[in-house]
Amino acid sequence: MLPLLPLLLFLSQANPAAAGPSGIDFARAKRVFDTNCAGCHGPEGRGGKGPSLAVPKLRRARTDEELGQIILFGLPGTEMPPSWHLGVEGVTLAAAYVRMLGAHATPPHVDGDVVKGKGLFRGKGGCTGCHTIGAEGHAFGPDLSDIGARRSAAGLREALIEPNAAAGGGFVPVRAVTRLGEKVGGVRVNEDNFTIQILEPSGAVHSLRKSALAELQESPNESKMPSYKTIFSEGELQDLLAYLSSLRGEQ
Amino acid sequence: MKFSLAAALLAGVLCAQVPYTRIVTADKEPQNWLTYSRTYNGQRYSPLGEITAANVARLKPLWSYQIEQMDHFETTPIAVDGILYLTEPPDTISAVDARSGRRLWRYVRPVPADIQVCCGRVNRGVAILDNTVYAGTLDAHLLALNAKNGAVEWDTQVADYKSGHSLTGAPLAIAGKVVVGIAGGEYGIRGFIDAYDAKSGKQLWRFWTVPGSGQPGNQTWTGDGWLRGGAPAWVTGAYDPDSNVLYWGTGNPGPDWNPDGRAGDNLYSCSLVALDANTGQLKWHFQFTPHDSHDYDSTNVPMLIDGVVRGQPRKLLALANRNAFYYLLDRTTGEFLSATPYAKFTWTKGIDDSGRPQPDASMEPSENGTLVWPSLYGATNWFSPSYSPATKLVYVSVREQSSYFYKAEAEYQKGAMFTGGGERAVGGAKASGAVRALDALTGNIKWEFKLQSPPWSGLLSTAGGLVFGGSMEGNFYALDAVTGKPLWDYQTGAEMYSNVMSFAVDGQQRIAVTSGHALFVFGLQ
Repeated sequence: MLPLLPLLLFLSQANPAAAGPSGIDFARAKRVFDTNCAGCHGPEGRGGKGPSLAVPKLRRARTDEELGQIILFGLPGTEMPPSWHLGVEGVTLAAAYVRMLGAHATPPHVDGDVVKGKGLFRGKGGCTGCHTIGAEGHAFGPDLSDIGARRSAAGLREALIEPNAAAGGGFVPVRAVTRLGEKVGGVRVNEDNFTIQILEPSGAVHSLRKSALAELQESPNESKMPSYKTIFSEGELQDLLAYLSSLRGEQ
Repeated sequence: MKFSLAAALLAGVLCAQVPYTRIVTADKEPQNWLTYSRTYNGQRYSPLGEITAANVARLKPLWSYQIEQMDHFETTPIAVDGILYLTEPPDTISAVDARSGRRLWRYVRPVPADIQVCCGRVNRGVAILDNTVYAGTLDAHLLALNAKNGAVEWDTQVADYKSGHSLTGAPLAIAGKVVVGIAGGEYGIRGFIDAYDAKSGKQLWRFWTVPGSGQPGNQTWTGDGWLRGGAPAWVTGAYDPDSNVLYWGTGNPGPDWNPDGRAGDNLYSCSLVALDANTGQLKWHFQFTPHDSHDYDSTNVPMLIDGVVRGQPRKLLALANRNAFYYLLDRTTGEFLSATPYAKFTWTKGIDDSGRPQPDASMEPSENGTLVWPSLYGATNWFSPSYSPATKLVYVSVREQSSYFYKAEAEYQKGAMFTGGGERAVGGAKASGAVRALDALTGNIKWEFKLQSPPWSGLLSTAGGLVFGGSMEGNFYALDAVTGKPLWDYQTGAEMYSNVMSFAVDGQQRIAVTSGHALFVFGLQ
């Protein structure tokens, strides 16, 4: 069976992360973190595919109870998986370690000129053609309003240079050909066993019955974004990274 | 006038009565669904044939019934003469007009705040016998309610919920008795199957699924580990009225993922037990997964079928096990006949001729996690398989998923998790699902219908040549029972943790299934 609820109960009652550093074996806590969390959140939680945890405040985990619940149950709609296998003790250790990282956090600093980066994002990079920041831009690729809180500068650099390596996260490029020969290409918005919904770069959403398709190709390891390796100079790339890292979902 | 009034009264009385004999001969009244799997043989097959491959395209939702809780809605409604009896999470029992979906009565039981359930505040249904509806509760009570108005006739405490006991499965009502299996295998309980007197609620017998000191099988445990040995019995079993034998699956030994303190086979965990329904005495047992360390509960619904195996006509028991093998046993003797894989597995090197799995030490849970197929959720789980006597196929909702199994220290504390580790399932594109049709007598896969993700929905096969099932993407669908070809589907709008059933009202066939927090009822239009 699937153990879930007692842990939640425990967390809501016992508030494990609130135990404070005094009662925590940080050598063990580090092992739990390194084994379970560092793969995405990076060594010392400085971010990677997942957001940096070495920040003073975690947007979605303001309280220790919220933090415990996120570790336990994951975050639906994101790549953060549930980790109830850690048990009460493991969640307690992981949460305490994350809080310790936050307590020792220095404000993230990314070299580069934020203002110049913003100009590149809107201009030379053409990024607003596919991405939104707040009310600005076209919704084809992922929204970037809080990308600085979700991705480290290193993770963003990788995505810009080698987009395919950073692909995933639900933005699956698809190509479909109907039995009548109509071609639809874009990203998968949703899919069930009988239908698929595809967003075209134009912004049009196509809803198709799979039984009406002659061909359906999904490329989960492919990104629709071009590599910026040769488009930007190193200096420009750094300016863009500084700008992206400054986007933290706050207006 | 007098005559018609008397007839109406008589009809009223008769309608309310569900004597045991009616359940035994359930095939005579296909419009009703009188026990968890419709018939005692666990087949979950409907003899209703109005809805067929030719007309299923006209199947439409007629009404839905919504619950007021966020927990999973896993019930199988019981249908009796135009009334559906069902459980709603966490501990609510309702009677609903099968024609309109309007509620007739509801019993709401308060749930203690400190309830211990590993896997959600769920309940899978009621049983009915004579004029009484029976349901288990999360605080491990068995309730008897008046089928007319939901009034409590008796309330028996089956076990102490504070030590992690609960009842989540539908009771099984047989002649004069109500049988329940306890849940709580993650809390260091000692499992059991109980029978209660249907009229008084008095306990008639208890079969401990972990034998006590001095009892045969107790030597398969170390020290006093049997006291916390688990082997819960949380899914409704099957019953053979001819021999008066109950067939019931048992769950994992405890602690789940750290078996170091329980050297031995750990009887009767991960087993099928055959019990004399009068006394609760063990007739035979078969253990599918000795000394389990992956939480491969054998609490799958057993299907009682008859057939010729190796040239010999036999009374059989078929079970698609969570451990990815489809088993055939002789249900008279318990003899192992065959085990055939129906899903990907890596936990064992294979099953030998005696039915015993060959252990693979490299697949044991470990501190840093061991990747094993199937996941702890199993190749299938509590949701029901279906057997069609028309196609002689067994239909199984299959989960193709692996997970990392972790081992940790296990220390028993009353009412606390006693699992000795845990698991992290591998999701996304690496997991999928399917409906597979198995030849009931060989286990060979005849066809499969692929699902996008591992399902939590059981199946129903019908005399109309259809198989109904659900997906985690909300698709409720009908497949051709012979070929597996999809014939119809409906988007219900939520993840489906469900078991499909069928009934008829006004002579018209209905298909019922839960999805999200609603019960949907479909019919031809």
